[in-house]
Amino acid sequence: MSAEREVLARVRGASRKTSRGAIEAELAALAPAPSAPLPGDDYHQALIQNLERNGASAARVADRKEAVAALTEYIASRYGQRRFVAGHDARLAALPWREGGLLPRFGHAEPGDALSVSFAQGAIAETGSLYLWLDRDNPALNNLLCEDQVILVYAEDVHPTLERVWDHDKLRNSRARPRGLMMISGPSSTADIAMQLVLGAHGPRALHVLVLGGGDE
Amino acid sequence: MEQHSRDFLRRADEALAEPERAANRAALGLFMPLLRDQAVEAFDSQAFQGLRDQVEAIRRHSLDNLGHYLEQFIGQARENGNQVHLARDGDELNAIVLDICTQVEAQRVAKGKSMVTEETGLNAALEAADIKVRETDLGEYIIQEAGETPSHIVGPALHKPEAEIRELFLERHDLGERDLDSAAAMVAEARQVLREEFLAADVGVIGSNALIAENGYSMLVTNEGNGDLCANLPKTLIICTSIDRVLPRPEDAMAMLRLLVRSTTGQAVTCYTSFYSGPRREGDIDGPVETHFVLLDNRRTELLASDYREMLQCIRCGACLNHCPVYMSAGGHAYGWVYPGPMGSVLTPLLTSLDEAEALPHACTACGRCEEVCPANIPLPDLLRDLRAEAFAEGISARRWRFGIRLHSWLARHPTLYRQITRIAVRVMHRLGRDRGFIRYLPLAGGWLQARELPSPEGDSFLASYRKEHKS
Ligand code: SF4
Repeated sequence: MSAEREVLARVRGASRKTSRGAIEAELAALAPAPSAPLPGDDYHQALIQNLERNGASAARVADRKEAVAALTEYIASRYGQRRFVAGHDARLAALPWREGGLLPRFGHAEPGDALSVSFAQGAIAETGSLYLWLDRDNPALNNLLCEDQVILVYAEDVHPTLERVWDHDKLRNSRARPRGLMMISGPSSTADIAMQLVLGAHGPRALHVLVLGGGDE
Repeated sequence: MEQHSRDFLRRADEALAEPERAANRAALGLFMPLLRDQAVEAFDSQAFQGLRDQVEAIRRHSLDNLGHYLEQFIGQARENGNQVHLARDGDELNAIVLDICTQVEAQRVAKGKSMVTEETGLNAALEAADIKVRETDLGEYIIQEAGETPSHIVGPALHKPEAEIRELFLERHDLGERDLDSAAAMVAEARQVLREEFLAADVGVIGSNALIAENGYSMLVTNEGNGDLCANLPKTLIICTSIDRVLPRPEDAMAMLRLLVRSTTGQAVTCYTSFYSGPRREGDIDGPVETHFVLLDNRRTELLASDYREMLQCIRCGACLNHCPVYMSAGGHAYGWVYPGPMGSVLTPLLTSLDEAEALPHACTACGRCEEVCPANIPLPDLLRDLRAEAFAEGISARRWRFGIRLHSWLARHPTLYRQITRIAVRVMHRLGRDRGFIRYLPLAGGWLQARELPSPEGDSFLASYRKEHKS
């Protein structure tokens, strides 16, 4: 017998003998999990507070123009240049980069790139997390290879609890779902050497988040 | 992985004789519980208990219906474009991974932390076939370079003092004169060395914290991001995990995440929590072109059908290790296999053999701290007691030990005699410690008294004093 048939037969033998309908009904009857309390009623403020707790920095900007200005200032304060890498995301392409004299290269990060700018699918106030789909517009390497990452998110895409990450029809459809989904909550870190927290273990050493627009949920 | 669980006592003695490593463990035992407690309080302890109960209910439900959910996961994972393999045991898992590596002509493998592949001894199997394996989790990398095994399921190198790691890096990295005088400098050096390894790897191997049946995604929880580099840079990705990791829905994975991270490091969330569903889609400009799941049984189906099923609820958070006085004294290596501490003392005999690992269920003071903090509500002390009873019943425990237990059990069933004997013993012990108030030597208890003093009894047994009080 093949390993798959044998293991599945053993699992089935040790599982409860019930119908699919009964299993689904039992699952549906389980109470939903409690989420962590937010540090206030304002999701955006809670997101920023939690990101700061996680070792990231964050700010709110009113519109795209302000976003570019904030980015220009951030980049200038850390690097003596204006280059960075960004995915092909239409929301990034639509930003008025020239106004800040910034020079994006659209594509995936290469070794040696210092800074990447990404646009998140959404953010979760409960934990201070940005979530990004890994797809043609948002290469995973842009989240991992650079020293520094800036992530933008629309204020209306900030949600209170973790479960909301999955609240999208595309994720339910096997033909449409992205190959990956990454939740980023702070700069890469490790405490593997004598329990001392060090930032920049393998991924970005710094994470800066810009919450764009002011729409309240 | 080679097993040395029979040598528990000797290895524990060795650990106790190393003061620097003992200090590391003491720090771990002090700080990790504090961090966890803070996180639980910030969540609200009552709500946290509610979260535990809810996740336990989901884990129970998933295990009760594992056949249904495992098939659902496999179906979804295949629809997502993965190849899914099942492995009956460790050798089979290693052979499947080796076969994939051979097919893609891999010479270098970059690995994220995976206790399942520690269990199967994957690195040795690949290296025997001339494939270079590089562990990329910083802790795993340190112990791989040092030729050691993990001492903790979450922080595999936490036993190593900073100075030892510094020496190791200076010796192993050919990078010329440098100080490496801080943890930050060492991390930066490892980052530089490992970045090359990620870029050169043909295959990435990672583990999984949960498999989601409803959509076929696999969850990976890390702070370093090394697992994500393994999952996204090499052309081939292999996810190795065990069949019991399946959860029904994505929201169940999120509930488990809340519980796992707080219990593990005291954080509210890790820096990276990623979900991978399969190979790159049309138009994607990065990501693996081929992805595999290898799902290991290795006696877990036996566990599922046994009275120890609750152990499969374990989410590998490490909290029971961080709260265990025996683990803190004996260290992770004493347990002699992959899983140390209370969870290891239950799992090791069940996944290997009780005969081989009989010492482990005895490595317990029955203090109950592990059960108090276990996010999966596993009754660890009860399971350890059941394993001890089984070892006794099967005649695996030492003859002297069984004789003692039998004698005690017989005595306990003859209360008059029991009282008389204990009364005499109490009087003798009272005399032995008369001058000092404690006893330094007692027949049959030499080992116990080596590191402790036994306070001498007041002069009569509790029951005798109680009776006297009530008569007067
Ligand atoms: S037994 Fe409980 S406390 Fe120990 S690792 Fe597993 S889930 Fe965590």
